[in-house]
This record gives sequence, C-alpha cells and structure tokens, in this order.
Amino acid sequence: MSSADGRQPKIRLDDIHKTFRWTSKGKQHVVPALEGVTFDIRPHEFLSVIGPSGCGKTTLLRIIASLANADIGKVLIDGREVTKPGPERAMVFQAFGLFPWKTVIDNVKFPLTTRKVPDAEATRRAREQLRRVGLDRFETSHPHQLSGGMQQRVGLARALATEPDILLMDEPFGAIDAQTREYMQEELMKIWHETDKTVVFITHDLDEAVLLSDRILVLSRGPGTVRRVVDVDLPRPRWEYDVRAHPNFAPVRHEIWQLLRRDLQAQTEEETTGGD
Amino acid sequence: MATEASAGRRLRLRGLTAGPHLLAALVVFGSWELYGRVGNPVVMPPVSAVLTGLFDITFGGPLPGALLSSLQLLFVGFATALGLGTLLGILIGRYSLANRVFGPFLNAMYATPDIALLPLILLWFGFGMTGRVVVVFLAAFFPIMINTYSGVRDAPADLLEVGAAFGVDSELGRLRKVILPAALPLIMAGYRLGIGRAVVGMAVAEVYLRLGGLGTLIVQYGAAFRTDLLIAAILPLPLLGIVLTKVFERIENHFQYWRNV
Ligand SMILES: Nc1ncnc2c1ncn2[C@@H]1O[C@H](COP(=O)(O)OP(=O)(O)OP(=O)(O)O)[C@@H](O)[C@H]1O
Ligand SMILES: [Mg+2]
Repeated sequence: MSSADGRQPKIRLDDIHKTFRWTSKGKQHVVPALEGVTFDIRPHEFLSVIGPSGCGKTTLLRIIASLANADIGKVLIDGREVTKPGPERAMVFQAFGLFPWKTVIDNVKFPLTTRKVPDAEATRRAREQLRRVGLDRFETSHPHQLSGGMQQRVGLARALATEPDILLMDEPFGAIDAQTREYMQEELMKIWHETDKTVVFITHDLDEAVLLSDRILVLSRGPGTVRRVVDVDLPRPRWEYDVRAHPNFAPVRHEIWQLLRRDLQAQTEEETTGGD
Repeated sequence: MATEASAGRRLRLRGLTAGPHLLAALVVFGSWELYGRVGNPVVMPPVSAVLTGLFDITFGGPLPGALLSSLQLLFVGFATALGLGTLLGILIGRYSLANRVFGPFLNAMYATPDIALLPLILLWFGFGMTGRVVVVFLAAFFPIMINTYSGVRDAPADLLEVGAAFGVDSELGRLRKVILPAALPLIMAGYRLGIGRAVVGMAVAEVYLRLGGLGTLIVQYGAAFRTDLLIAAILPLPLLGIVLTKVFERIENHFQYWRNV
C-alpha cells in the first residue's frame, strides 16, 4: 500500500476505467474516456494534469471527487477506498459553479451548512477564507456583481471552507483574463504554501502547469492513459523570481509540448481523413 | 452619486410615461361622461353616476360583504391551486414515472377550456362551495403547475454537481438547496399568472355556477337594469386582478434580483 519512496500516497488511482454509454434516438453511443489510469499522488504535492481536449481529464477529476464512478478500478485516499464525496476533498470548477441566488458569504458557507456545522461557526470559518482570498469586503454581494476573477476567488474560498486536504481544480483559471490569471496563480501558490494541501490541477496552459507544479501528469489523447510524468525542478517560492527565465523552465515546457504535439497531430489527421 | 443620478432619471421617465396615461384617462372618462349624459342611462350611465353608485354600495351597502365572501372563495381556490400545482409540477418535472402517469391527463385537461367543464363541475361537485372552489382552482392551477414543471425540469446540471461535491447527498437536499431555488423565478411567475386567472375564475364561478359574493350583486343589478350599480359592482374585479398581480410581481422581483446581470 505504499509507493516507491516508502510513503503512503495521498491519492492512489488504481487502474481507472470509464466508458460513457447512452442511447439517443435509438442510436447506441459508446465513448471510452479513461482506459486504465494508475497513478500515485503524493501528500502535499502540486500535481498538474495536462492532455489533449477530450482525453478524460475532467472525468478523472470527477472520479477522484466521487462525482462519477469508475467502471473498473478504484480511488484510495490515505489508503482507504472512497465512493462518496467527502469534506476532505474539495472542487474548484472551471465555470465557478457559484449559486447565483446566494450571497458571497452564503456560497462560501455552503459546504459547511450542508454538513451541519452550526451557523455561527460556519460564518466565522467562511469569513476566514474570504479574508484569505481578499474578498472579505464583498460578503453580501451576489456573484453577478463580481468580476470573473473575483468569482473564482469565491469558488476557491468555498473549496477551502471545509479545510480539505485535497483541492481538485478543473481549469480554474481557464475562463479568466490573462492578467488576472497570473495574479490568481500567484495567490494560489501562496495559499498552497500556507496550507500544505495536495492539489490536483487540470490545465490546458503549458506555462501554467510548469509554473505551479511539482509534477505534471501528461495524459494520452482519449481514451486517456498515463503518457508520462514530468518532474518540475524549479526552486520555491516561485513568486520571488522570474520562473520563465530560469534555465530549467524551457526544457520541461518543451518536453511536454513534444508529447502533446504528437497527439494533437494524430488527432487532426484522424479527423481530416475521417478515419476512426 | 451614480445611483442618485439614475434615480433622478427614473423619476423623470416615470413622469414621461404617466403623462400619456393621464391624458388617455381624461379622454376616455370625459367622453364616457358626455355620452352617458346625452344617451340612455340604462345602456351607458355617466361615470359620475357609476362613482356615486360605487360610493352608495360601498358605504353601508352590500359591496364590502360581497367582496369579502368573494375573497374567501378566491383564497381557498388559489391556495389549493398553489399547493397542488407546485407539488404536481415538482413531481412531473423531476420524476419521469410521475410524468408518465399524470402527464397525459394534465395535457388533456389543459387543452379543455374551463368554461366547457362548468356543467360537469356542477354535476360532480354540486352548487355548494366545493364546485366554486374547483372553478377557481382550475383557472389558477395550470400556469402554476406548468411553470413549476419547466423550472424543475431544467434544473441546472452544473449546480447539481456543485451541490453533490459539497455534501448534498439526498433527493430532498437537492430539491431544497439547488432545484427549487434555481426554479423559484419561474415558479413565482407561475403564481403571478395564477392569481390573475383565479380572479377570472372567481367571477365565472359566482356568476355562472351559483350566485355568491360579487356575482350576486352583478346579477341582481343587471336584472334590475341598474347599469350604474352593475358597473360599480364589476369594477372591483379588474381592480382586484391588477392589484393582486402587482403584489405577486413585487414578490417575484424580490426572488429575481439575482438574475439581473
Ligand atoms: N457525462 C458524459 N456523458 C457522455 N460522454 C461524456 C460525459 N462526460 C464526458 N464525456 C466524454 O468523455 C470524453 C472525455 O471527456 P472529459 O470531459 O473528461 O475530457 P477533458 O479532457 O476534460 O476535455 P477538455 O480538455 O475539453 O475539458 C469526451 O469524449 C467526452 O465527450
Ligand atoms: Mg475538461
């Protein structure tokens, strides 16, 4: 039950398979999304997952969160199999996923309220997280009154509310403009340094993956399998220097790009020749 | 500052839109008065006569009692429609089994004009209070049921997933925390449509099914050719419809504020 370095993995993905099947208009659809993903995620590490569009990244994250079940294989957290969402794992959604009818603070309190945390306690903890993401002045605002970047900070505060060990983030900054994104990346790094969480971070952005991660998991094009695991050897804290100018930055970025490019090429060829 | 300026603009706008209203009222009521004075008062009594009549039947007259009795009917019928409409809307919007069981009946009933059902209602429920309540109920039920149904059916899948991720693990929880709040604007719009229909249903029930409330007055004054009093007794109906609809519009807007982006 322990990985090569002798420590128990925080998350163990054990031979995860997932195929989507459904019928519409009498036609059977079968879409294999994941085909045998086996991987150990270390405690406190920042892991990015990258791969061509449709390769099953979101599906994998949903399975880790127990929002979907694997057909074969299992997910172990601290050595125990999980089948239901729990407060030790929290999701940050690409489209923020805030409840538009709730105020900022009520959105952040939500994971606590559903778990029967007394209201005063929930409010106190929600305030603490809102302060952490710098939004304590917007408690009583509604999501639509905030910019995209601010909304995602609410999403982050909500995920932090239950003080989870694991943060699951599905392209959290994908819908945010470039400058705000850079600022959010820095904030996330700082929060990660402060709180010691294990982060699984899906992204399409090579620079973002290299900038943030300890390791990068590259998935093959769909159905997803583990293609390669790339170590990122860049000193931390990374907001204290220009990471992109570091001699280790370009080689890692290039390595991942080479892997992705081949898959993208194959995918485009398949599409243009109509083969399958 | 910005809000003050926009409030000022809104006031001026309101003045602009009120102007034409007033003018139109003046023209309509003015010509009505004139026509009434020169013509036959049984066909069309002047406004002044109607207003005096309204005064007479209101103060020390039968109108308040009749209105109260009508409101009772309205309340019972509408409350039943609200309860059953919301409940059935949720059931058939959320559970395909319920939809398959009730859907066809509801569709058939929806396609039948209420008026056509009056003789049946009379046969089934008799002349008592029940029959009248059924008429009010039927009038208000469908907009409420259909709006609830649409709102619940189109529950946002992404927010349901958010709920599940953060600890909503029962069907009741999903309904309370995600589905109903998301559907609330539509449900409230259904209530607003429903209350307007209920007022119409109330008038129909009290005039055509069995005399009662305002219906008694309307038929009485009609039979006595007291057109001034007749119009005075009819007036509370549109007023009631408008006022109640406005009240529900207010409530609806209160639940809708988060939609205004
Ligand atoms: N609920 C679902 N029903 C049917 N098919 C699905 C469902 N969810 C995902 N799929 C399919 O499974 C495959 C993997 O989807 P997934 O969303 O996990 O990919 P992804 O790597 O996150 O893609 P992207 O980079 O575009 O976000 C795709 O072919 C997708 O169409
Ligand atoms: Mg995805």
